[in-house]
Amino acid sequence: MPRYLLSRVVQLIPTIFGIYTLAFILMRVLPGDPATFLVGFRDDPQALADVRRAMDLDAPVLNQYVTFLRSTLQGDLGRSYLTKQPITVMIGQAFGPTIVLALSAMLLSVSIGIPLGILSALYKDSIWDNISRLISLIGVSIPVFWLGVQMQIVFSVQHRWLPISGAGFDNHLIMPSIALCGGTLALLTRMTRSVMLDQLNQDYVRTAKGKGLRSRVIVWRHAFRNAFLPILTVGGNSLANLLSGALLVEVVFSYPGMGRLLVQAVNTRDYTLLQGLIIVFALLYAGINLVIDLIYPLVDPRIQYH
Amino acid sequence: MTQKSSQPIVTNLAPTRDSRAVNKTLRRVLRSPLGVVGVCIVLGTLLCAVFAPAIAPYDPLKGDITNLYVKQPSGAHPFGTDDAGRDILSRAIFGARISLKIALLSESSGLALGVFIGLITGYFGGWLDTILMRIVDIFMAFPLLIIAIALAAALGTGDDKLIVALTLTIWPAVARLVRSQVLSVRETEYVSAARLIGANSIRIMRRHILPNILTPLIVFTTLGVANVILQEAALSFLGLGSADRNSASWGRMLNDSRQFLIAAPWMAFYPGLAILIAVFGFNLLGDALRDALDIQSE
Repeated sequence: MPRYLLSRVVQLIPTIFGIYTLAFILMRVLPGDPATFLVGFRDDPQALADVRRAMDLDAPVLNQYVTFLRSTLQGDLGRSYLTKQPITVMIGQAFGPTIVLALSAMLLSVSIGIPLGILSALYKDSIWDNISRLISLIGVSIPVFWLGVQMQIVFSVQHRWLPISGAGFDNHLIMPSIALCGGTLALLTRMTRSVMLDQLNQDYVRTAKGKGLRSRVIVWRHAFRNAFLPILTVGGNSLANLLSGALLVEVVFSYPGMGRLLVQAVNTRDYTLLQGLIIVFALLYAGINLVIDLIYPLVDPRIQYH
Repeated sequence: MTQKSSQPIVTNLAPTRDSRAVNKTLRRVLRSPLGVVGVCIVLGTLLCAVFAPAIAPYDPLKGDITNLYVKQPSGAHPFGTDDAGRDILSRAIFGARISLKIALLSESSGLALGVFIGLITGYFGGWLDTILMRIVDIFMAFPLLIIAIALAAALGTGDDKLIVALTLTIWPAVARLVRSQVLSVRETEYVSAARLIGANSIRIMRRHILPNILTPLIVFTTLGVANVILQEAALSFLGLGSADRNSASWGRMLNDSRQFLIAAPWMAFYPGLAILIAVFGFNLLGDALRDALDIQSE
């Protein structure tokens, strides 16, 4: 296990290197550098040159790259061109709300998706099965930002039941989580249905039935336990996608998370902020996948790593 | 299910370009009710896109001169009008053109690039494979939406740049899928036989490998179109789509509607509904195709 852990972490190194490089390249090809943006309409070449020099933008690209790698690998993502705040602080403030939003959407998807999937596996081709299929198809097809806007119109503008925007550990979370959970809910429902169908046709389930076990015990203690691993994989991947999907919801609900920060960075051409956010998102993504891989042997003792 | 047993067992083993296979798949798709709905929606959307000028009741660019502001849905304008007095129904119909154009062009170029890279890496292997697959890994280390936003921001606004950005998000997954399929087909006997006869690599790939990986690709692509319509809408919604307000895709219409959320909620409702229906249709079709092709390969 320790050796597996080590090799899995070592495998991550080229990926992380690639992430940093791609983020760096992307930021250099952005049209109109931040200096132009800061100097604005004054069209003053002298001012432009001064700002460029101050920002170290006139250095050769390779030098910039080396400086960038050296500082980012030490955990320093630089300062925002606009607010002058350190990027790590800005992202740090937005990090919590996004995680809360993603987790609450995850909770919603799991608590609806898995029962729904089991239900449609147990009563295959019944009305339940068709309803859950329809729900999951709509879930993957609905544009999250549109759903968010529609909910705002109905529940905040017309009825004033829920707050239209903002963040908080209360009813501020309801609409954003519902808007966000559609895709994950759909994926979990489908996955649960197909793995459960597989498991319910296995010999051990027949044996359990033959022994006269109650069906609830068979479903939860036997079949679901074996179906859990693929569901966990899908769930983990979805969590990573929820983090990025959250950005659309955050924009709609003016929710102070990383997604809104990203859109703000794009609109104000805040290079360093954008670069930092891209790196953090990608690292989170890679980190979640790593954790899922490491959880496998804990969940299923049959899996052993070399 | 009863027809299944009467089918010949060997259908999909030999690479054939049999039009009967296409017919059979179509018939299977049309046998499931959801498949029929999917086909109808996809065809309907395509018809809207192609014949938009004939179908749309008004000019999508010209507002009602007597009433240059938002108007509630009414008999004359069933979906209402927008802030420039333009008919939203007509704009939504023309929006199908833009949205589908962007989605189909990005999906097909992403597909072409992915298939090409997947074929050469899977077939030849070696250092080229190693390098290209590392690049695929790096692309896939980013959440799709983040990379699309970064690319769209880097490339600037405009339909063509949007297509490039979306293409670049599509190809890695295609390349990986094709590569894995090629790896499993490469060692089959008929490919070795073809090689023994003296067929060259290009011919083997075109005639023997490509037809055999077509099945997963068709399903993947249909579902991919659904996804790319959503991605395009998301980017346009964030203001990273086309800068030209006249050629409005559905996502762009949604973006325009944001300031009128309270004054004119219908401006946001109908374009989003159009996205939902179109994406739903492509997803249904993809699902039905998967079921149909799955049975065939059994």
